[in-house]
Order: sequence, then structure tokens, then C-alpha cells
Amino acid sequence: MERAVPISMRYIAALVLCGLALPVFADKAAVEGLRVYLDEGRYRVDADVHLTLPPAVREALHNGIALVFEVRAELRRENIMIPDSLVTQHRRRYRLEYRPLLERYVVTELGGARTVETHLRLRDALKAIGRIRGWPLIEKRQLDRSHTYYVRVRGELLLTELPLPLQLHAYVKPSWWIATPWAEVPLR
Amino acid sequence: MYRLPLFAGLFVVLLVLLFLMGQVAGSAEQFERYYIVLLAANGVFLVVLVLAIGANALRLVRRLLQHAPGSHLTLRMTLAFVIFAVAPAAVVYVFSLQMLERGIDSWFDVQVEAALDDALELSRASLDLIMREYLQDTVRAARRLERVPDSAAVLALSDLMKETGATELTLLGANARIIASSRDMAESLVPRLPGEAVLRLVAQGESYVGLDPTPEGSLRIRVVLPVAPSTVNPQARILQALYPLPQRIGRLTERVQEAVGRYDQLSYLRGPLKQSFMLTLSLVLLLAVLFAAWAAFQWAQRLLEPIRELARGTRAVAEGEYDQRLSVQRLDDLGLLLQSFNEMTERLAEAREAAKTSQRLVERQRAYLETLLENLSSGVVSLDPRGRLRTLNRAAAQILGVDAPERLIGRPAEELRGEGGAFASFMDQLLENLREADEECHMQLTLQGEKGRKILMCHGVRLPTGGQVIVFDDVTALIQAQRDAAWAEVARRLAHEIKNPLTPIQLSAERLRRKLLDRLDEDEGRILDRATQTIVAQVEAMKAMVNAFGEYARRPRGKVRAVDVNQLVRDVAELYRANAARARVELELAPDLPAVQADPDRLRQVLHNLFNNALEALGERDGGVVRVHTAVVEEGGLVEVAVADNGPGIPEEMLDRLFEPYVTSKSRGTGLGLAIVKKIVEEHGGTVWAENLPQGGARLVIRLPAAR
Repeated sequence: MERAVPISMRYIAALVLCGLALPVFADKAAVEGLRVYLDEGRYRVDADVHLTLPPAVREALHNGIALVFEVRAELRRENIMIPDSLVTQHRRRYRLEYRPLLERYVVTELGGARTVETHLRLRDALKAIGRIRGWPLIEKRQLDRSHTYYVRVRGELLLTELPLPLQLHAYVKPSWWIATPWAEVPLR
Repeated sequence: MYRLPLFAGLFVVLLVLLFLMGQVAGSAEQFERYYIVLLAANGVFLVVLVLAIGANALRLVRRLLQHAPGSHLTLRMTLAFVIFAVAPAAVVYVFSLQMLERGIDSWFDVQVEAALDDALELSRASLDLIMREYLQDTVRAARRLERVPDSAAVLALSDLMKETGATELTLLGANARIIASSRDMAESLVPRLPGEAVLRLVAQGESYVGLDPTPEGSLRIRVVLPVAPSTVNPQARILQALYPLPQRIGRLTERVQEAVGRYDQLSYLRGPLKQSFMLTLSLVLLLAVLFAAWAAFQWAQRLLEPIRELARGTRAVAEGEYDQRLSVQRLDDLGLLLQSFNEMTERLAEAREAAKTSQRLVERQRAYLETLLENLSSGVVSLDPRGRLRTLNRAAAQILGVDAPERLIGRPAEELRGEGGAFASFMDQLLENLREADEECHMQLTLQGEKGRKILMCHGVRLPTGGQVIVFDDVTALIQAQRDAAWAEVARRLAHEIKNPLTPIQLSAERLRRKLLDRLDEDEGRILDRATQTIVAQVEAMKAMVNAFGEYARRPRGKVRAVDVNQLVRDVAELYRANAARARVELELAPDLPAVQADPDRLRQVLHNLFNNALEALGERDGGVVRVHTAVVEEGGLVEVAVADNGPGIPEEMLDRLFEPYVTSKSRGTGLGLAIVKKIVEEHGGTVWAENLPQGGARLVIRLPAAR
């Protein structure tokens, strides 16, 4: 089946929409190396979500404010007349905090695993958060051949997880709106 | 009334919102996540309130511009309400802000901050000491492993674990391959490998010692260092040892770390916290004030609704709508007022209905009286207390010869005396008589009009409300008829009583003359002859007179037919043209003159009498003219014949009685000519009158009804 809209156009449209919705992205926040591959009958995704923190956010982090990031990979099906529908998604939430006693950045994966990593440098900590390797999406046999699918990936800072007094502040300050645009790749 | 549930509903919403905001401000965790939603809800409520207040204010301004009743009171009450609500709230607001500022600032202290930093430093030093010890232990363990082959490494590690007190010992080869690992199975099933950065560091020959947080939240010490190659093991290997932090130290450092973290966080959040509280407080104040303002509008409107209702009702009553009923929806003082108003309008409506009924009655009476007055054959004139003419019925207008009575109504009677004609004469005499009259008076007035004299019998009464009413009848015809009847009777008697002895007198006189004339001498015979001739002549004269009386008294014989008056006039005029030596006869005859129903012989006699009368008036005068004209008058209803002369005219004192027998200005004649004219004309349903002409001479006019 032919694509209703070329993926490049879709990408541009997504960019425009994200641009409208979130006027200022954090500097250089982007998704790189997005790759979907088949591993033993299951589609998996690799990507590096580059997140950077502006000085105001870094200052908050160094003052004991824990930041929660969400990295999400979605498998979506294209539709012609109606909006594209979500088939499945894989998302992980990470809490990033700075421990003055250890003088290290601690990344804790929230949810079931609750793995904890410490990093000397913030860059390493953010890199660890954005590192997507072999995230399982769906069994190949579960897909309908008559449809066109694509995978998209995104990472963002969750403002709702900030301490209450800071939330209002963050909602009105664009420097706090940290999110990458959606990166998409068709599923072949 | 629908406003009350709405008001109560909004009030409850406001209370709930304020309560929730209070809870959030008090950091109740269950509400924290809804903070933004709450803010949005408050914002929406705020907008709703602003819109509601705006709508109310607009309505109030419009009412103020229209000067609607109660609008100024609404404005004053609303302002008062708002001021009473805002003033204390503003004081509390300012006070709270200050308290907030000071309260939050009081959490922070330089000394506390320094103490916390010191505690942190102390903890670090303490941990450094411990870590160094564990590093030494691990260095020793690494040296012992230098000569242990990979195959025996597991046992060696197990021994070393016991010696060093580590919870995990792992020996790694190239590319971080695990050669052997020994660990406390209760803690972990798989080795917890170091990160890439650590491995890179160690690959460069450096040792790493650091604290790692565990998923449980405690700390452990991780030591990673290279194991030097030996003859037994030529490859470079890495040893990682994990040590638990002594429990007491761990607990203390955790508390220090938590306290420092919390203090830093609070210190950092000081600004946003203040802003957040201020926002909440301002929102609460704004909501309270706006709600108070809206409530003030509602309350004022509710309070003033009865007053507006009352004003509307009063206006309606002022415009004559007595059926207006105000809706009474409350039982307070204002409700009672509305009820009283309704009772009042009810009574007013009843009174008005009664007044209407009585007015209708009066109108009916008035119409009845007017009809009566209009159709009364008697003339009725009334004067109001100020002496102005109030009533003049149709009969009165007809008798007094008034063409348009309505123009006289309402004018002062004194002013009407100068109107001229019969009416003025009537008013003049009437006022004179009324001036001397008592409650009731009777009078006989004589009016001189164009158509002759009129005699009115008047009866005046003073009205109880002031003013007078005068009822009168035209008795001219009646009096004339009585007089005519009397004269007719005299004529008949004369004819009967005088005419009978005249023939024997004449015959006797003639016999005396015949018998005695021859017997007497010449002188006596002459005397006898003259005497008998005188007797015979006088008897003849008396006979003529008696015949004239007979004619006057004679009743019509009834040979009535349609007569062409113009032709009759021409016939008679022809006779007089031939006979009259000096006078000239002129005719002005109207063409298309309708015929009249009359006895032609008697009508001819009328014309003869009129011609005679005119010629006798001219006498022997030169240049005498008798002018006869005929005309149609009163829309073809009457035929007029006028005979005018240019003689000396009729003396004024005779004008009224000219048509009575023996009223004459001439030495000759029987004195019955015009009386006979009048009698014949009246027998034919006509009228006759005489008038003097301004240019001299007199004119006699007869009017006869035209034949239909």
C-alpha cells in the first residue's frame, strides 16, 4: 500500500507541529541513529536520544531537584482518513539527580527494574538516559501486511514530576521545555 | 427566583475551590498532582465571575443611562458591598503576604547552611577514610591474585571475600570478561559490573574507589583496580570489590545527605515557593473579591427587585392601567408593600369602574336631554353661572334666526347683545328682564326681525348650580291667528247685520225721492234729491265696505291647482301698465320658476291688491316705478314674489301692524287690502311681510310653497 504522505513530509509536519506546540527545544536535543531491526522474529529499536540541559535546569539539578525524563518508542500504523493509530509503545522513565555527598550524578530507572547508575559527568548521565538498545517492539507475525507502519522515538523532561512550586515556574519558562522532536523511521 | 440556586451553587463551588487551594498550599500530597488542574479551574471560575460581573455592570450602566428606577440605589449598594468585602480582604492579603515572605525567609539561615556544608564535608572525609582502608584491602587482595591462575580464581576470591569483608569480588579479563566472581547471593545473583568510564580509567593503570547508591537507597563502596600481570597470568586483569558501608556510618551519611539535599532544594525553591503561595493567595483574594462583587450585584438586584416592580406598577397606574398586578414572591416587608400596592390598585380599579359606570349613566342622560332639547318645539337657552351662553337648541336657533348656533356657545351673553338681528334683540331684552327677576320669571318679548315682528313667551328659571335656563315659544302666529279670527268674526257680523238693512234703506231713499220729488218745489226738490242721492251713495259705499268685509271673511272655496306665478304676474301687470298713467311697471321674472299650488283667482286678487297698494303709495308722483320680481328661495322650496315701489315708504310705527284691518297710511280704500293679502297668503301656507328699502320706497314680499 502506498503511503498517504511521504515520511519526509511527515517528519517536517511533525517538526512544524512540535515547533508550534513547543516553541523552544533545548539546544541540540535530537534523536540520532534511529534504527529498527528484526531479531529472532521480533522488531527491536536502537537510538540515541541526545538531551542537553540549559543552565537554569542544571542549576536546579545541582540544588537537589530531581529531574524525570521519559524516553519513548512508538510503533504506529498509517491511516488515510483518520489520524495514525498507535500499535504498541515502549517507554522508560529515568530519574536524574545530583548527590553532593558522592559528587556524582545518579540515574535511576523508574518502574520495574529500578537500576541505579552513577556518573561523574552530567553528559554521561544524559547519554545513559538516552541510550536505546534493543528495545523490543512487536513480533513480526503480529503485523498486518496490508498496512504501513513506522516507528518514532522521542525523549522529554516531565514537568509534571517537578516539585509543585517549580512546576508553575517551569510551565511558563521555555528553557524548561526540554524535549526532542519525534524521529521517525518506516518499518520495512 | 432562579438566581438563588445559581448563587448557592456558585458559592459552594467557590468554597470547594478555596478549600482545595488551601490544601494544596498546605502541601497535602493527594492534591499536589491536581494543582495545575485546580489553578485552571480557579482561572475558569475567575473568568466566569468576571464575565458575570461585566454583564451585570453593563446592565447597570444601561439602566443608569436610562434613569431606570432603583439603578442608583443598586450602584450604591453594590459599591458599598464591594468596599466592605475588599477592604478587610485587602488588609488580610497584605498581612498574609508579609507573613509569608518572612515565614519562608525564616526557614533559611547562613549558620545552618554552613553547618550543613561542614557536615557534608565531614561525611566525605569520613567516607574517604573508610574507602582508603577498603582500597588498601583490595590492593592486597589484588597482589595475592597476581599468582593465582584463572582456573583457581573462584576459590581464591571466595577466601579473599571472607578476609576482606567484601560482599562481592569479581575478576575481569580483557573486554570486561568475567573470569571469576564470588558474592553474597543474598545481595545479588549476577555480578554488578563497573561502568565504562571506570573501566577506561582502570585500563590506564589507575585505581578507582567510589561510593555507589544501591537501588534500596543505601550506599556501597566500589573498588576497581588492575591486577598486575605475572608469569602465571600474563594478561592484564581487573579486580572489582564491593563493600557495604558500615551501617552506622551509612545511616549518618544518608541523613546528612538527605538534610543537605532538602535544604538545597528548599533554598532553591524559595523563589518559586513564594511565587506559588502569592499566586494562590492572590487567586483566593481575587476569587473572594470578585465573588463578593458578583454577590453584591445579585443581592442588590434581589433586594431592589420589589422596588423596581413597584416603580413599574406606579408608572402603569399613572398611565391609567389599574389592572396592573405585581407579583409577590416574598413574605418580608417589601413583599407586604407589594401586596398593599396590589390592594390599592384593585380598589382604584373598582373606583374607576364605578366612575365609568356613573359617567356612562350621565352621558346617557345627557344624550337623552340633548335629544329632548333638540326635538323640543320650544326654544331653550341656558346661561352658565358666569353668564356665558351654554345651550341654544335647534328650535331656539330657528325662532331667533341663528344660522350656526355652535359659534355662539361659550361666549358671554353681554357680548352677544352686539351680534345684531333678532338674536341680539332677544339677548338684550332677556338680560334686562333676568337682571330684575327672582328665582323664576315669565316674560313676553317682542322681536323685530327681517321677516317681521315676533312675539315670544319666555319662562326663566335660576338653576341650583348657578346660571339660568330660559324656555320660550314663538306665539306670533298664535296671536295673529286669534286676531285674524276675531276680525273674521267682525267681518261676518258686519256683512250680516249691516248689509241686510242697507237695501231697504236704499230702496226707501229712492222711493222717497220718486214719490216726493215731483210734489216739492224746486229748492226742496233739490234738497231731497241731494239727500237721497247722498243716502244711496253712502249705502253703496257701505255695501262696498260690507262686500270687502265679506271677501275678507270668506273661506277658501278649494279650487286649488298648479299656478304659473310668472304668467299670473304678467297678466296682472299688463292691466296696470295700461291703466297707470304716471307709474312705470317693471318685471324681473325668474326663469324656471316652479309652479305653486294655489287658487288662481285668490292669488290674482293678492297681486291686484299689491299692485294697488304700490300705485296708491306712489300717488300722483312723477317717475314712480313699480318693480315686481319673482325668485326661487330656500333651495327651491319657496317661490318669492316681491312688489316694490319707490314711494315714501311705510312709517316705522305701522310696519308691525300693516297687515291688520284698517291699518293704513292712505286716505282712500277700505283698509282691508293688505289684511286680505295676508289672509290669502297664509291660507296657501305662505308668509308675507313688508319692509322699507334703503334707497327709499317699500317692498312687500310674499313667499309661497312651491308645488312638488
